[in-house]
Amino acid sequence: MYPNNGSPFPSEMQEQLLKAALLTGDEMLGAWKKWKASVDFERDIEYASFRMLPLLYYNLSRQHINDRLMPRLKGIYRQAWSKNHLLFYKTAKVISLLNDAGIPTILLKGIALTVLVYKNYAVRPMADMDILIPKAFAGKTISLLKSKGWKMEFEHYLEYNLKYGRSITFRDREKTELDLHWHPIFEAHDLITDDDFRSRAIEMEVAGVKTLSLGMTDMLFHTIVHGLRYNPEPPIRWVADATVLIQKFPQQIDWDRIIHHAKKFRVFLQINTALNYLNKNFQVEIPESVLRELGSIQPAFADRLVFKHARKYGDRIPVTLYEKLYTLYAGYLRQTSKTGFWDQHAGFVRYLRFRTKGKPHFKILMYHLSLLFKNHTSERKKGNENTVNEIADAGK
Amino acid sequence: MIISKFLKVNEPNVVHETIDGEAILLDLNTGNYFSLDGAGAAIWDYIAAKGDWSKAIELMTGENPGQKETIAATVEKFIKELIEEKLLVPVNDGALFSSEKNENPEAELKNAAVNFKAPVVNKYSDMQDLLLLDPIHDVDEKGWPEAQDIPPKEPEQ
Repeated sequence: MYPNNGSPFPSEMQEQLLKAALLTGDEMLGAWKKWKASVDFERDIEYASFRMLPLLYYNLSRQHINDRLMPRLKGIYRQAWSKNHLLFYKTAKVISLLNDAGIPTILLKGIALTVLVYKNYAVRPMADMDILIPKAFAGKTISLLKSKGWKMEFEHYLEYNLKYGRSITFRDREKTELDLHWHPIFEAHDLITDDDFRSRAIEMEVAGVKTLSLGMTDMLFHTIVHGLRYNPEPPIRWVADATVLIQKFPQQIDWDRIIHHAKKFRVFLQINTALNYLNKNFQVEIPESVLRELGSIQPAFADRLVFKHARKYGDRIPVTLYEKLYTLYAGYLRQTSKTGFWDQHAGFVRYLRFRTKGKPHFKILMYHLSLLFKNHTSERKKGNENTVNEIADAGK
Repeated sequence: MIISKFLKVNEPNVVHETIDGEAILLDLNTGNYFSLDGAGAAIWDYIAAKGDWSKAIELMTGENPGQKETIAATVEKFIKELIEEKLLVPVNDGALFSSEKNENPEAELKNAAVNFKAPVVNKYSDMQDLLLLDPIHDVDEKGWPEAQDIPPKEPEQ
C-alpha cells in the first residue's frame, strides 16, 4: 500500500494524506477523497500515516467535514492528546531535575514543535522526549538520570556515541523513552559548537517548567536535517512540521542563517532537496534566492555520499558486509571536519581503530567474512540482528 | 453545598481541551481521563473561563425557566462531582477570571439549557490500559477510549 520503503519522502498516498491534513478548501477536499478511496482504514494505516491522523482530524474538523470516519479519527486525536500530556508531564519532571542541578537544557523536536509551533497538544504524536545538553554536562546528566531510575539502553555504545555520535537513549520503569542529545544532528560534529544553536535558543515552558527550545529558524533547520534520513517507519512528518512552521512563522525564519548552517554543517543537499520538495508539492513559499543559492553549491564527494547514505540507509541496521562498510564510512565522513583526500582518510584510519578497539585488521576481516558466510547460510531474519556495532565489538 | 463563589480548573495537575462540543480532561497526578459532553462541556467551558458557577446555573435556568428546579439541582450535583474529582478547586478571587480570552461560553450554556439533558461525568480510570488500546481496531464506532465490546469466550467443553 505504501511502497516508499522508509524513504523520508512520502509515497503518493502518504502525500494525499499530508495534503488532506495540511491544506484547505478544494485542495484539502480532493486529497481527502483520494486518500480515503485508496485506503482500507481497518488494514492499510501504517505507522507513519497513523501519526498524521490527529492532524488530519484537526484539519477536517475545522473545515467542518462530516464523515463516518470522524468519530474514529476523533478517538485517535483524543488518545494522542492524552499520551502527549502524560509525556509532557514526565518531561517537566526531568527538566526540573536538570534545572535544579544547573544543567542547561533545550527541548528538541516534538515537544518544542507542539508547544511553540502547533500550539495544540494532540496533533503531533510523539514517542519520546528529546533533551539537548552541552556535551560538557553529559557525564553529570547521565549520573543524575541513572540515580533517578532511568536506565541507559545500549550502554556499550556510550563511549562511541560520546566521541562520534549525537545522543544516548534512556528508559524509565514505564518504558518512557528519553533521548539525551549532546549534538542536535548526526552530521558535522567536528564543526558544531554548543553556541551554534544555543545562541538563538528561545524560552519555553513544558507543563509549567521553564526550559529552552531552538529558535524558529534552527528548529526548521533541525526538522529538515533530522527528517531526511531513511527510517523503517518513514519519517514523513517532517513535511508537516516544516510546512506548519514556515507557514505560521514566515517572519521569524532567517533564511540567511539556514544557508549559513547548511554550508557550515555541510547539509546543503538535505536542505535544498527538502525546500524544493515543500515548494513544489505543498506550495510552501521559499524565497527564490534561497533555492538558487543552495542549488548553486557544488557538493563534494563526501557530501554526496553522506546524503545518499542517509536517504538510503539512515538509521537502518546494516546487514551485509557492503552495507556495514558503507555505513562505517558514511558515519565517519558525516561527522569529520577534515577535507582533502589524504587528511580525510588518515582520520578514517583513526576512526576505524577506535571502532575496532585497535584490534588487528586481519581479525576484523575474518570476523566479517564469517558474518557474510553466516548471512548466506542462515535465515535472513537472523542476519537482521547483527548491528552496526558488531564492528566495534569485533575485537572483544 | 459549594462554599466558594468561584471555582477554577485544578491546573497544572488537570489539563483540558474542548473539541467539537466535548470537553476532555486529564488528571496528570492520577492518570484519570474524563469526558464531558453536551451540557457538561458547556458548563465546564463556562467555569473554566469565568469561574462563577452560580452564574452558570442562573444563565441556564433563565434560559429554561420551565425546568428551573431540575436544572439548578442537576447542575449543582454535576459541579460537586467535578470538585470531588479534584478537577475544579475553589478560589476566592474572581479577578483571576477578569482577563477575557475572546471566549463566549454563555452562548453554549444557553443552548444546552434549551434542550436540557442532565450532564454526566464519564470517568476512565484505567489509563495505562486505555493507552495501550489500538485506537483503530480495539474501539467501537465512538472512537477511543470506548473499547469494543468483545463477547466473552465460550467455555471450552
